[in-house]
Amino acid sequence: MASIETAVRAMLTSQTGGDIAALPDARITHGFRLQETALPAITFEVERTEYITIGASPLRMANVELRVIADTTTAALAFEDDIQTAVRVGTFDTIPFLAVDFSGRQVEPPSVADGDEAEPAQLVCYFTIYY
Amino acid sequence: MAINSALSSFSFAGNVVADTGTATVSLQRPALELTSIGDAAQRFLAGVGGATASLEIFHDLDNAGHKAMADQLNDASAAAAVVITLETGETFTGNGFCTGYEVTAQAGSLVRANVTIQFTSASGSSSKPVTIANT
Repeated sequence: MASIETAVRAMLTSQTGGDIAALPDARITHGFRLQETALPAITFEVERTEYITIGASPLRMANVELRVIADTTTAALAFEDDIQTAVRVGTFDTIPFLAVDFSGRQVEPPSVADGDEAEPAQLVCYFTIYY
Repeated sequence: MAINSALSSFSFAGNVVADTGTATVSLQRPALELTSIGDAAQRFLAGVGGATASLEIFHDLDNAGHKAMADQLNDASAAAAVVITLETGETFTGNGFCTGYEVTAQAGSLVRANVTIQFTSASGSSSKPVTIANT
């Protein structure tokens, strides 16, 4: 059954050309990625959805957080333009996205440490999707 | 019993106004004061009724309801039928003029419009600005 989560993933995996399209499908996941898996990778979360109109077919709004995880800050930032292009109006997994707003991003640098304490860089992008 | 607003609708000139965030109908009938000098307490006569409506919509003139309100504001001289229907089927029905259509575009949000409607009624002592019907 289609959901906003499956639709967001379908939107990302249907992107043609660019860095996102070059990612293997399995590296775009909901919520988390397994440690030790190859980078770069993208995870996403739908933080909250709510109705914003009345009527028989109410318009809904979803706050979406996308994380590009890469070995270096530069490698993560290389996805920024592609991310803004990939999050777009269209119908994904039967759900029509009527409007999207890019509401900001932040960059988390890699943390250099031993073993499990080392963390890759992350580019975190925030979107609002109306559907 | 409380009524869920998710299945309510607002129509203007026969067109359902889609993408409505908030719909408000305000009915007033302020009493007319008859108190005379020397009275120990206030006295009132039943007042004259009036009503307004306001909408917050996600503006899009491709929507027939939005266009109808904008067109009415620009060109029309006659009042248009306005019907607010609640989920239970309860209706607020009247005729009104679109008196304001304020469009706002703000970063990080959809384009919104605040619309105001002034209800009017026929002349006569029995006319009402808005008819409320409970099905």
